[in-house]
Amino acid sequence: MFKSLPFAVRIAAYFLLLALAVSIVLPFLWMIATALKTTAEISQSPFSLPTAPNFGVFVDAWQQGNFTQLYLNSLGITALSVTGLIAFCSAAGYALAHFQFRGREALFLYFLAGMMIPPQVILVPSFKIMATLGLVNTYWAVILTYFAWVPFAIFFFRAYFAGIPRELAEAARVEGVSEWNIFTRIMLPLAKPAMATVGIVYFIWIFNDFMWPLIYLNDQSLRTVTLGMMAFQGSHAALMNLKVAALLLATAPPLIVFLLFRRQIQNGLIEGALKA
Amino acid sequence: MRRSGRTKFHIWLLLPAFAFYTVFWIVPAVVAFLSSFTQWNGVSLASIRWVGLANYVELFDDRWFWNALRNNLLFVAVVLCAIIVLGMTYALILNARPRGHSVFSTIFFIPIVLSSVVIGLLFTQMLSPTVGLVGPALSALGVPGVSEHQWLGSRDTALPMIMLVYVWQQLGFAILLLLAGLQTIPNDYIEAARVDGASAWNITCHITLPLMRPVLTVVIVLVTTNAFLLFDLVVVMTNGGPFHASEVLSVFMYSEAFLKGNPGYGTAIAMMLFVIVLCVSVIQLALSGRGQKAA
Repeated sequence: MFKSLPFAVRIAAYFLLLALAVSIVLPFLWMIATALKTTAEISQSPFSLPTAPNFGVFVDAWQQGNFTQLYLNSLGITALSVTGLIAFCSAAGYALAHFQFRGREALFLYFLAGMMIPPQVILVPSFKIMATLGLVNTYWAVILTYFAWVPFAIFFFRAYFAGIPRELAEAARVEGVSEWNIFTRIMLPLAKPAMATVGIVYFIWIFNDFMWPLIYLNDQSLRTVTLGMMAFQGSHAALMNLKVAALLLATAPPLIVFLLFRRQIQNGLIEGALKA
Repeated sequence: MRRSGRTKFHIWLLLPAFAFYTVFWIVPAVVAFLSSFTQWNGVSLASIRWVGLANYVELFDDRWFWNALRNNLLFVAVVLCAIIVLGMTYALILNARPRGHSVFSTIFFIPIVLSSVVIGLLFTQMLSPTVGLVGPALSALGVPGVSEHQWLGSRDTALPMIMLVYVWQQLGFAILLLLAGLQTIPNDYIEAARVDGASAWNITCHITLPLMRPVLTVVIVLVTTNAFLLFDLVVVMTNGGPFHASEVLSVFMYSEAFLKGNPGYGTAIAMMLFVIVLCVSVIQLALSGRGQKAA
């Protein structure tokens, strides 16, 4: 199809593709080159290659930035929040899709209403509520807030379970299988693709979130990767190579995960955005 | 279909999600609405006073509110146009499957998984005068007087730079969605038009783009809403400065509520943000309703 286009159009298309690709790759190359240079080299020749690459800078940045702690905090918060969300929302989505009860449609609309309420709107009252509960400066403040981010997941699970024939559960009921077993042994295994999609979308959201950790986690030992990066860039004003090395340490793991699971992440994000 | 007479199992299924959602999302939203009519010092609950519309009156009288709103509208207008035009262009190019398209799309989608905080900090470094990448590179190319330029520290360039970084960050996501939309268009339509002798340009304008309307609507609404809620990049790159030049509503709200200790006033700003997002959603519903009728 591309070959049928006029020559000039093809040239223009390649020019545009290359321009965007360079604009995305260049910052990464610059980060690698800058991290490996000495600070004197950086100020003398900002875009030369390092003369004597100093790979130890990554070890220094990892230690001084306290990256072990940052990644443990971020991964712990994200894993717990995503697991909880999948558990609660798959259950709620299944109930909304397969059970007939009074107020079902109203309840579904109630859950969807949250999509209209951005986090910024509830920032101040949420902080007051967490403060009243004594949870500020604990992981629970952010985790409980993420647990409340249900609208998208419920919407998604409900649509997914609606596509599973009800006869399946009815047949099991006739056989005398308990409701709990129907849900956990039959329905949840069937919903694995939906869990993967919801898990991916929420993982990216929560791992990269900044606003909630910013207001809840003031303690240095509780910092997530995003918070820790912000603090690190502010504190080491002089040593540019160290700061840039730290930025690489924060970008590399998400990048590797993306390259490994590219298909799943892309499909998850597409389904997530276009279905909702 | 399960009748509720026999078991109450569905209640147990719904309870956890309902409880967390109600306590930590809906209750704060209601409190936000109510507290936008109050004034208090944010410390003791006894200091809360009902002040009616006073916060809103003050807000409409506050030049920094109008400044933040103007910055926000300008930001949304510019990034929306840039992301939709560029996104559609790149999606159309990639959909034609030029050689190397999968390598290009992999590269384009990289910023999606990175956090705005890290992206903001990276560009802050690249834009730093003398030692960054942008200033020295431009001056090496012969642009005079830019090596020392404070890209994020000047009133004229702070917000435009944030716009640029935002487009860099969000473009891949728009391309991803638009490309997915293009791939759902049945090939028969396009083949039929081609057989009838339609040019690539005519096919794009008269077949592809009209069929893309539903996806395009979704992407426009997503980009608009997210751009109105811009927060992370500004906090990281300029913190609203220099002298409010890049302050948008979320940042204005955060600094009033948390840094200046006016939670009541902060929630009034938050309510304005809510009204804007609601309007965008209502317009989307109206548009998609009309689209369905037309189809």
